[in-house]
Amino acid sequence: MKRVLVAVSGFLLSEFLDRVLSQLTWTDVELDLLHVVDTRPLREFGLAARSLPGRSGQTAERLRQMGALGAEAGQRMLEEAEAFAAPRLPAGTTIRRLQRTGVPEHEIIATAYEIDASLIALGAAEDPAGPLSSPPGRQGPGPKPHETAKRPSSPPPDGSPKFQRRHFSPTLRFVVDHAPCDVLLLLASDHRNADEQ
Amino acid sequence: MVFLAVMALVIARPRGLNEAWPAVGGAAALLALGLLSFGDLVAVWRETAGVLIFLAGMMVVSTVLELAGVFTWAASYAAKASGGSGRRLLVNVFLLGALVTALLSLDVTVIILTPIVYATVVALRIDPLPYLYACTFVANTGSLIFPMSNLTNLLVVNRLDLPFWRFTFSMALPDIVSVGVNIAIFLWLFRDRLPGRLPREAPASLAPDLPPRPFFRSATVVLALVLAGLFVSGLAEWPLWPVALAGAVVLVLVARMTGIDVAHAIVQGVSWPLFLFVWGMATVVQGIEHAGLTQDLARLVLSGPGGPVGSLAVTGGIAAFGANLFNNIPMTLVMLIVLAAGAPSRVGGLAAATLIGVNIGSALTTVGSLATILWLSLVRRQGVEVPVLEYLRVSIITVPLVLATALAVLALEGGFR
Repeated sequence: MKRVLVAVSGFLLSEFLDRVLSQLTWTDVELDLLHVVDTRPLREFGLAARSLPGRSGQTAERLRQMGALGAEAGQRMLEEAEAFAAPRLPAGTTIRRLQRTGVPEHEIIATAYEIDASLIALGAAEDPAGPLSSPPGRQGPGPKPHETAKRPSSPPPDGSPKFQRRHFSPTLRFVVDHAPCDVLLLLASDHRNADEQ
Repeated sequence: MVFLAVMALVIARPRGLNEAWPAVGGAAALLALGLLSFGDLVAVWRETAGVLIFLAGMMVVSTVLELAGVFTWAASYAAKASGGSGRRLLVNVFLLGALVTALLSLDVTVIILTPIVYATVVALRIDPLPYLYACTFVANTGSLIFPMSNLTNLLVVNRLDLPFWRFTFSMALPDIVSVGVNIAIFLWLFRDRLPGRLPREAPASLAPDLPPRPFFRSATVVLALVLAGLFVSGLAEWPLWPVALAGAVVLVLVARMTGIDVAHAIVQGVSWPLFLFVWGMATVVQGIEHAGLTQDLARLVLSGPGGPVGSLAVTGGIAAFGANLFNNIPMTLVMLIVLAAGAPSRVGGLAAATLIGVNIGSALTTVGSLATILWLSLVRRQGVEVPVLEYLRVSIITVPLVLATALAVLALEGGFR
């Protein structure tokens, strides 16, 4: 039985899941939905508040509230993701909801090892300089919703050997660099500049 | 020795010890050693009382405003006004943070606004990290403009008897330029993390249940009156603390009239140990002045190294270094003793450079302690994760640039006018 680890963070959740589900064959596969409560913003707040004398009591309470808020938002996303995926998968497919706390890229890799994942699926942003499917100078509307952006199969029409470069977030780069299995990277094709999902 | 022992305990905070206790203990030790008299303790209290009462009043004001939903509304408005752009949202968070810091102090931005911004961006389902960095950095860079924007400003204005309008007139441009440079640096630093587009429809949690409208409206009106009162008092060169105290009392009464119980929130929201800390540290610093330990520093700062521009840079640099070595409040108190010995015509410019150093420069290490950073670096070599080093990756680029810009603007202005 193969296990597919899908990392979700909410943005464009249904589009992302729809594309993950449509691109894989779901026989003898289990789906693990993972959300990571990113602790870096909380630590940043903790560090800043720690520099203010006499505020430790309030800081601890605020940190507790923020952590609970992040976990609650993550649980909602996982519930939405499961509700979206369940009817689209073959009956009886096991779906697990996992929530971790820490640095997202570290937790994704750690979880992939832990569950012995066969595949990690992630959403990625378009390059802020423009989608790869739109060479410089191209006019007209972008790809339709749910349509996968495709890397140009040949150099731009003018023949110049220029290829646009994509700027993936540190999270994506880390996962791709350290993954113990295949990684499915989905581009937010119709959402130019959208960040990773 | 007493000062160093106090600072070591303030920085290390063994077993979560509140910073106030080492400061008070240090004052008691100096009294026992005969380096201070009981009259000195009372004199320090008289000197700092106005600042501390003002702080207490503004903490109550901020706490009640939070209960009234004013900050939540402002953060929600900032999100909506971003027009669906993640980058514009970052700019709006900066602007909101700068406004809150300027009018209510950096404490309010860090302790109250930052968690609310976190809740807002979590509701938007986007990466909260750049927005939290924006809040915590603008609390420092945007805290130069008014005396009430930072406790350090209040201490300087109070001790050197600087007029409110003159302070604001001189610090406005360095403050505005600093915030602008900070925004530009963050847009570049976080370019890979900022979503170009926000979700078309914000989740319902972006419009949380606000308290009853009458409370929100009344609190907003009282806030406007308090701010107007502060500016009028400042221009008239009256003390600020009566306005803050009156505003606090009126807001509590307004809350009670609309059926909102604020007593528990006020007890929680006011940082009581801070008053002891400020008084204790001011007393300890007085003790080191009596011992003649600030004379060398005074000679260095007041000798005007490198001409007018050079002395602004040296003063700002020393203040920033000290704020990172210890903490910005003790460093401000030390610098005040140094500046108090200078000629009145030169003190204003050096005080402004000091504030730029302690307010902006202290963000370099955030915990205000190079010693802590060095210790954490050693720990990291042993395989322990150090969140501070993540912070340093941002601050080491941002703080020197913003600090240098602010000092350059101050120098171009010709110092304190």
